[in-house]
Amino acid sequence: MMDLSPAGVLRAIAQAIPKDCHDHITVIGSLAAGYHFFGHRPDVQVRTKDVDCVVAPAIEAVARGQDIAQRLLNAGWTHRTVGEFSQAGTESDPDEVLPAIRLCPPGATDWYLEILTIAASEAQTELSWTRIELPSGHFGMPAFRFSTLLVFNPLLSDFGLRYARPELMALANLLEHPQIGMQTMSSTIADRELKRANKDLGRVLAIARLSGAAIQDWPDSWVQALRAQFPTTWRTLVGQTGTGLRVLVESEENLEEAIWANNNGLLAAEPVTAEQLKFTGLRLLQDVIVPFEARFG
Amino acid sequence: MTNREKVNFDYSDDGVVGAVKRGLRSVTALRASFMQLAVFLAAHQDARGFIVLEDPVISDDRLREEWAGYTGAVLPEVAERLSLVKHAEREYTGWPLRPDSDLLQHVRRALGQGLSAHGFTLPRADCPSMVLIVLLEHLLSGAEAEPLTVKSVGQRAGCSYPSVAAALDKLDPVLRRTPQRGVALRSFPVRQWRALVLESRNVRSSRYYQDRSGQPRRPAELMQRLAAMRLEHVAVGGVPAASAWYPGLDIAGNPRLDLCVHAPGKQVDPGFVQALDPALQESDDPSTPAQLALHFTRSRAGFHAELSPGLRRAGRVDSLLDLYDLRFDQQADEWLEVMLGGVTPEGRGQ
Repeated sequence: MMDLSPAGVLRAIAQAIPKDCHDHITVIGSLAAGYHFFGHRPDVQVRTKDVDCVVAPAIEAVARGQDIAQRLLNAGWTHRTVGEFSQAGTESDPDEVLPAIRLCPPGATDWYLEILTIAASEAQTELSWTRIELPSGHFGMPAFRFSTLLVFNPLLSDFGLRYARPELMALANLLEHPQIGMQTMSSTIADRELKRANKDLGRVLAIARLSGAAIQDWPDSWVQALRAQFPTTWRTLVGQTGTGLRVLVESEENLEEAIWANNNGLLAAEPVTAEQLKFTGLRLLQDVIVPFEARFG
Repeated sequence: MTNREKVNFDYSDDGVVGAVKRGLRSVTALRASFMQLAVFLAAHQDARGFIVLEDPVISDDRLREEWAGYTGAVLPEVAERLSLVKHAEREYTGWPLRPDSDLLQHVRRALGQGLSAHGFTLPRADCPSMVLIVLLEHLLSGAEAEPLTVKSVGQRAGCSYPSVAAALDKLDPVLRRTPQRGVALRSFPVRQWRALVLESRNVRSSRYYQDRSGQPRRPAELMQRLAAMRLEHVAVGGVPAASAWYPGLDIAGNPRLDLCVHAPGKQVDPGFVQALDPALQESDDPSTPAQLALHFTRSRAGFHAELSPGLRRAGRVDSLLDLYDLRFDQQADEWLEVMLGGVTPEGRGQ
């Protein structure tokens, strides 16, 4: 993990990736959120280790992913060689064990760009891996179930790169975790192993906190994206929007992990207490999620 | 009311008695409860009574007809203090009228809907202070030329006749009494006013709420949310109300939202605070500023004025007390002087 300037990183990626590829990439995750909330403040940095870039549409993911990865490698970017899944896969490896494409910028190894894609259809309910072959070996592009929300109506950065709407990143995380599962993150955060649900739902609270009164506009954006990307199941999904978050805000243990992730990540510049984050969650539930579930569910 | 009398009713709190009937199928039980209540109210002129029917099997038309028959058979002064309330499918209806918010609080408690986790019991009512507030409100509104009846003082103060009479006796040196049993302040009660200001937190059982999210909502935003709730028993006080009463008030901004909550009974349930903002938590730490203050009163003096759509304005006296509580002493003194016709309280005193 290191402190990164969101604007600086987006600028570097935009310059490294040719403009004709920009339309097919959406930056997501803490860097995207950091750029949205802090991009205009050069003094604020976001603590992260990776920049997630989603390639879409799914049908062109392999070709686009290969093109983008190769152009970055040609520009001096290198495969990440430390940590888990740092070795390229082979033709005989099953898709789900292939390493993700993780590329470090020239001259730096403390952060990397990871290439993902989106779910192929509404019917996908589990994490999927799309094989992508590069001269350096076989890799996989993960696609989470709700990744299509992340590329819906993205925002445009000053550098021509698109990034995910904060409220849709929040929605994707809410839906991804209807409960606090036992799965942990593949890497530690500030030397601590955390449950993925706590990190992701904690990110929802961080985004809500940074958004302030703008959370009142979230339901309209949410329903628009859900109807577009999940046309047959959106109502059912609405009904489970707040399920996992309700568990988080009432659990001291899980909230503590969410605090750790945020204060060592998106909220590093303005750390919060567990009580403050809990009340952020209660406000989000009362003012946004409960009315959203009642109105559209 | 004696303890024995209280036992005869399903519900009894602060001058309000009630009978609860669940799943009523015949009017016989309804008739019996009505007579029991009517007899009681005839003997207790300040009491109020209700019968609440939960999920009755009897039709509304039949209930309306029965009630009209019962109330027609008793004295009007008894009938006007009796209500029939029906609770079904989460809705309340009533005869002769849908229950007002005061009565509804009693009805809900009678049905065991009880208090939320935020409910609490108020201390014993301070009737002398309530009576003083009613008379001061009357004086400061410029209506002292038309005295209030003792009964009216009691109704506005939410106190029984004996309590009102005793309070008025203590105020005798500053009172003007008329042969028609009217009362009004003939001079400003300086000593009693100073005591009220000093003791207002106790008199009004004030409670203070602080933001725990680290991102406090502005009073204006809380007011907007309150307006949407349309609570009949809550009025906005403090700087907004004072400014509405006195546009010349020299205060920029509003540091805190002060609300006057009408609480006729001992039990209060400020659960609406959580709907305003779940991050507001009660605190007794005076070193940390409060975002919200609740002041409970049995008196509805001045409660009827509108501040803005959906919001009631607290009376002049409560708004003044709020300003003193906010440490806007100078501005409060100035406003009071204006209301007293440009004369200081001491100048209008005895």
